[in-house]
Amino acid sequence: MVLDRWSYDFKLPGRLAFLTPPLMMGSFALIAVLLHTLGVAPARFLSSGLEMFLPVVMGIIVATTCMHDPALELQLTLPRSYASTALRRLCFFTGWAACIALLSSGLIALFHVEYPPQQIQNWSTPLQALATQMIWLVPLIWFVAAGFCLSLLTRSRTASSALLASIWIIETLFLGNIIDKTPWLQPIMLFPTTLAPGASFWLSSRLEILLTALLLLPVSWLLLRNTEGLLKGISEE
Amino acid sequence: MMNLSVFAGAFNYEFRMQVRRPIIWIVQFLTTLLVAGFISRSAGILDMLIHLQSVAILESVVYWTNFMNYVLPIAAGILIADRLPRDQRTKVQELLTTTSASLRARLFGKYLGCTLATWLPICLLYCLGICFIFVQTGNLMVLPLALETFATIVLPCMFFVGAFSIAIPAILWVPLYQFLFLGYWFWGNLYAPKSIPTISATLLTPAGGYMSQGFFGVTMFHATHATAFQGVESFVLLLILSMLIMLALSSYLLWQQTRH
Repeated sequence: MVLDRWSYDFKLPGRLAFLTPPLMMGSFALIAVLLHTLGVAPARFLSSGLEMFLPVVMGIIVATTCMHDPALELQLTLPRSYASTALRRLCFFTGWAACIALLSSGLIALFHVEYPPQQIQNWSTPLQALATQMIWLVPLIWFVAAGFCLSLLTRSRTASSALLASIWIIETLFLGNIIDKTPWLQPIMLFPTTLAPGASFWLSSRLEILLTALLLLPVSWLLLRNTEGLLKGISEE
Repeated sequence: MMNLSVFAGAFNYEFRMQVRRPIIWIVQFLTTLLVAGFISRSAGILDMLIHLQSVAILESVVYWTNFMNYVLPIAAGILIADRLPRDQRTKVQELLTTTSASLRARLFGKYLGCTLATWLPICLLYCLGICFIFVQTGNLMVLPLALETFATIVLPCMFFVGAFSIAIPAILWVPLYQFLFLGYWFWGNLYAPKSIPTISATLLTPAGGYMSQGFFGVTMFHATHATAFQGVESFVLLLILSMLIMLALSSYLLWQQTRH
């Protein structure tokens, strides 16, 4: 029964939803090789793939697929709540992306092309290895949680993707340049490793971002209990 | 005559359908709010806004037009991307195929209707900014200049982004296109040419750096040495590519129809 459920969850969004993260990281690896041959150090580029691009692509995929179920009306009549089904799918996607990121992170360490933030460079090796995983884990959880919450709030897959993309580009273009003069923006900096590697607030901002992501989950849980809203979401697109 | 009425019908319907989606307005409003919030923290831009009277009118109008092409087309492109797959999902495509209406005329109507409706919030924001510059400077020259910059910088970007966002999702999964479009806009338009090779300083930049620098001598993009001739080249290239991609899309859909 559990296997059937997982198999349905796997088939529902289509193969591309699961193939996109490994394909994306594979493309980053190929471009990194190309950059290396051009004489450009690929460490920062690879770090941006893990920290900036994988989270946003997962956020868009979650926003598009997690709330889309052709059998939604049927699901809502079942004794198992749809909220738990949707959260299970969310965990499924996040877990898959985390596996790809962990594997990529391991390969990056193996080839000595890491780009660790300055704050953790003097830490002991095991602590550094653990902290390095926060480079991708925190933005990944944030984008996945935000994508999920936004798709429930806006009841639109494209609107949530557009908002995630806007947040991503604004963070990327503007925040790195003004963060020194506006310290109160530090808790919302999603990509400090790539954009401000020398930042002294790296760890504190990671914890604050993680906290905001975790706060989005109960909000999503409450929104998932709004059956009327879920049904309207299907017809409003 | 028949094709024209099909085009007008499709345009009308798609425009009204898209413009009535509250999310189009909400997303562009929130994006503008976020960009304005971050930009207001940048010292140079804030100073320029405060001392607008001392800045040349041409410069302030061109910068405002460039700002329209900076981040907002990303949200617009993503919002247009689901229009064609939606027809397939709701089976409207099959229904329309049974009518005698020309597919090409219908597709062009859809393209222009969707694109113009999605750009309407951006156009209104543009007008608001121009009104602000006009009130601050009191110079009537702002209005013809604004029309000129809009036609040469915003319109090619709008047609290019609209065409690609309608056409590519016909062959690519929508979320993947949305992600790739975001990546493309950042890398191909806004990323400064440094260590990683980029096309952001070439003629093929819908953000409009070449038109902006070539025609008006001012730009916030990476085309600081563009000439007027290169501006014309970039303008024509973007429009031709938009038309070609739409023609390719209609041929692809016709081929799909005959195959089925």
